[in-house]
Amino acid sequence: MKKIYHILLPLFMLFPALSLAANMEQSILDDEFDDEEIIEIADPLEPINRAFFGFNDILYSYALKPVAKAVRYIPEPARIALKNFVSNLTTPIRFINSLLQGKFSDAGTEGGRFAINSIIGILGLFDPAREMDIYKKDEDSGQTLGYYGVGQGFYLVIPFIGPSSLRDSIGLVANYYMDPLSLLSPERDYYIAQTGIIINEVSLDKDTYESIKKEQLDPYLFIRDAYAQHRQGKVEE
Amino acid sequence: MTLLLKNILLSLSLIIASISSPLAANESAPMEQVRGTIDHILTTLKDDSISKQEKRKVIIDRISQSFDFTGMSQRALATNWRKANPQQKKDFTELFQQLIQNTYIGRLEAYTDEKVRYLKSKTKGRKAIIKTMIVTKSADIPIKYKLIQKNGNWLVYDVEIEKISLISNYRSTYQSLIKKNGFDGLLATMRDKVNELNP
Repeated sequence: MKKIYHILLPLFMLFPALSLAANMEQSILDDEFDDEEIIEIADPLEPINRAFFGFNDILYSYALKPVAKAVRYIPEPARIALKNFVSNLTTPIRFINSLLQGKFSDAGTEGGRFAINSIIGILGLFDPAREMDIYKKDEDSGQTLGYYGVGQGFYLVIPFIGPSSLRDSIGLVANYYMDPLSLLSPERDYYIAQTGIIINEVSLDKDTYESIKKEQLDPYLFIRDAYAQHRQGKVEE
Repeated sequence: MTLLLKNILLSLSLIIASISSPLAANESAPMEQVRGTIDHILTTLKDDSISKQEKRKVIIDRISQSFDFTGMSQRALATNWRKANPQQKKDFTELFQQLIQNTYIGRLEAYTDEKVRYLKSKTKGRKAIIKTMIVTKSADIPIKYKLIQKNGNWLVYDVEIEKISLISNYRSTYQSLIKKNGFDGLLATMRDKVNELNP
């Protein structure tokens, strides 16, 4: 697995340089009231994506969710504390990507949040910064690529991970290198930690996936478009 | 004497005004509209004295008054709207309304105990955007309401949750179902779904 990262990282470094020119066009943001634009993502691999979507669905429904439901017996404050702790630990991802996009005040916000939450929030278990109205700046490497004009490419459903795009899957690799958790060794421990984090997240979520699956005529298409819109929105932010 | 009386009357009326509508002071009409609707729905959801079915009925009534379902249907169908005949348009709008209501109420039910913050209101001509935030114990969920003024009323024509527009999110689905089974095929699938959700 690690090998793939080594191959892909140089690619990632190349992208910003290649696409600086494209950035110019992208910088004029659309008028918020102009809502005729349609955000869609190419999906040339739809049959394969649907197969992986089905695989992830089974994984979610028969492994992840039952465990997450059992985990709900742990009092919620404890699970929120774990979520806060992880979020605080992964500050470098948001900090570095804010810098890479030239959003220095966002980087400052992240640095400030880290200091406040690490000290007053006891190693990040609590989020007192949020109570002071200092909100998290959600930036990642996929968004940085987008900021420099790299389009989403096409839609990808990654087994075990879920919806992504060509661009964001490259972003994931870069995120890995900025994530202090990647220092865990052996590598197995990193995956165990990630699994735990995901189970915790699912336990805190209010059955979003179940409601989509129940209510939508085609959950695959609904999630694909939601993903594309969400990511596009994040880049434009 | 008359001046004093005038002053007293004036201040009294001001006090009464501020009591009867505490939010009117610096809030725009569309913001009031959105807040009124959400507050009404949340109060209804928390009211334990009425049954779940009655709650749904009250909420659906309120949503029908505050949402522009025809506009929503047009946007969700995009070019396919023009190709549909009047009866198909009517059927679609009704079914679409029921599906949207299910999703919207379902999500509100999940977040009943959370706080809603009203952040910003922007108006441009007949359109308005209201930004709100659901503040939960572990996350903040931005929700944006888009409104349009029709016959003097401000009506919601799109809801954006976490930057995901509810309306455009249906486009691919409807497009692909129409391509596969035709417009009446889409209506049949929607009817099945509505029946499945409201047994």
